[in-house]
Amino acid sequence: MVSEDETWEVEPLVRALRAPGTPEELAGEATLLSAYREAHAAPQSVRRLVGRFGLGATSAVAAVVLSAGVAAAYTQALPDPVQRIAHGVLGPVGVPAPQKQEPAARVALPEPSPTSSASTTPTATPTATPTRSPGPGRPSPTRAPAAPPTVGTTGSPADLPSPTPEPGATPTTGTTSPPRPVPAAVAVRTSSSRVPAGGTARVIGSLTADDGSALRRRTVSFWVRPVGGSWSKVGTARTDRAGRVSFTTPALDRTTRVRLGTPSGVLSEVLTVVVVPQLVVSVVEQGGTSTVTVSTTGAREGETVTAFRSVGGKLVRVGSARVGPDGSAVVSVPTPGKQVRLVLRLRGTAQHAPAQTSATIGG
Amino acid sequence: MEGPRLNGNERHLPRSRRPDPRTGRAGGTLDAALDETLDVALDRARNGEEAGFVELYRALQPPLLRYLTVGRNDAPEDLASETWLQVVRDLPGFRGGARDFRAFLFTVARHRAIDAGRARAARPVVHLVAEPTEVHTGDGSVPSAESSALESISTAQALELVASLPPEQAELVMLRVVAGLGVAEVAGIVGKKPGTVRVGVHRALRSLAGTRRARTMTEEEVG
Repeated sequence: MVSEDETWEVEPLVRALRAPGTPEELAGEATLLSAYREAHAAPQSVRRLVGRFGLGATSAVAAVVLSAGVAAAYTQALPDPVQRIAHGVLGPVGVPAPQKQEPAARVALPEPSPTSSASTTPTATPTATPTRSPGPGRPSPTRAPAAPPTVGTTGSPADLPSPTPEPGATPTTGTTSPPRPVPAAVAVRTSSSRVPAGGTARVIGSLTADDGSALRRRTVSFWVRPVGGSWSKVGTARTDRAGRVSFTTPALDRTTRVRLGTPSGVLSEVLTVVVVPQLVVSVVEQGGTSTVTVSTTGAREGETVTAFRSVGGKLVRVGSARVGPDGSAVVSVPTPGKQVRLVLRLRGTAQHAPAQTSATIGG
Repeated sequence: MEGPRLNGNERHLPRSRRPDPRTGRAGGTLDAALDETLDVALDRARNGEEAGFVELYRALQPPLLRYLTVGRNDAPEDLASETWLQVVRDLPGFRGGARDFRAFLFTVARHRAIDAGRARAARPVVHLVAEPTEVHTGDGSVPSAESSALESISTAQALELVASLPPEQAELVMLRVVAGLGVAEVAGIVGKKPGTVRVGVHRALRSLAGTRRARTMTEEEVG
């Protein structure tokens, strides 16, 4: 057991996974800090009020109220039993009385833990906060981790935090997040594009939600599949403010299919980028024979280049040759007496579109 | 083995791997030393000291974000933010040490990710609109990153590799290796037996190492 656990600690893969955080990963720190500040009453004010009312029987209550934020008491945001106690204890400070007219009720005060009543430190740590639910040390996978509420209420299920965004049960932070829009169908179009062999194509994606709104800062991956091959992911990027993202294919040597996808498995349509081979012709006329060399980019060895000439408006085949290992095909034709236009064609395959070029010989 | 007394198997473990005398939990974590530092940070954060909270965030946000990134989530940064916001809200009342906090953090994240996934699954099938434009010829060379040296793997590449595993295995690896949770804790979070977790992680890492050696890394960031 020991060796199993320890052998992989030295794996480079593990080291890479556990490498220190990058500034990009930590970019949310400032925003989070302000949320943290909101959620925690400044220690200074705690110090003042605790000093004022002394410790002892009221210490537990003071700690409870203050951990929720004195400001919260002012806005009548505390649950009622606590509000009443706050009014009683902090009366001189000016906490508004609760609205309801009820006889002074017996409220179950949390048992002060031994540390709080003995402590004279300024920081009234909320160790007096009662735990009314199992501590988070034992998170159960079937329901929300039950961390205790920040205010010591008599605790109803509605006060327990849950993983889904809902109006905050605690008055300290109003972290109500609206449900996050999910990617949805808007419109689907097929199109293809033609690229010279060795060239690249740009692919632009647009990620939208159900209602057509653009989804920003979402991860989108770029997948390509050269014909005859399999899908591979060649890039990842995040959508911009307009919900758009763009990628450039690698240099293509054959017709390639492309698609975009989100990490959650939402996929776009498959688009086809067709590669068009390039043909470059050179002619050498010597001793009555024209040697026509066709250099190709994007044609495979063994493919055929066919030479035609136009006779009476129709193309007539006059010769052909196979593409050699150097990518060129050499066709020899008798040099015509007058100027003639020769058309050289490469037939289309699964890997590329047809291509043709022409040259003038003779004359 | 849970329990404060060391049995025969455990006596020869390094101290950081022995069952914790406080909690009785064994199985060791990679971050035992880090957790000692974070215990202090956690206490400070609970007391309202910003510096303590910043330390927690800087130590735990990268692993958290990487866990959510591998998990096929659409917006891992958003999920991570929401997780922290919830944790910040619950922090004053949180009971437990750094190790418990770590487990708590990742459990919250996992729940949020699952809920986000449920919300997405309830919607109709979705499409992107993708249109190739602007054809141009470049030398367009895609650097073929041949990671022949085992050491030259970046964090991003490592995450990609883990993401290529079946989702359940990938999660085990991330919770164990990146979140630094113990086998028993991971087992509790994902609902599997500890033995299954331990074996699963070991095999997954072995197969990933083998994959890297066997093939040339031709996938590269383009565009």
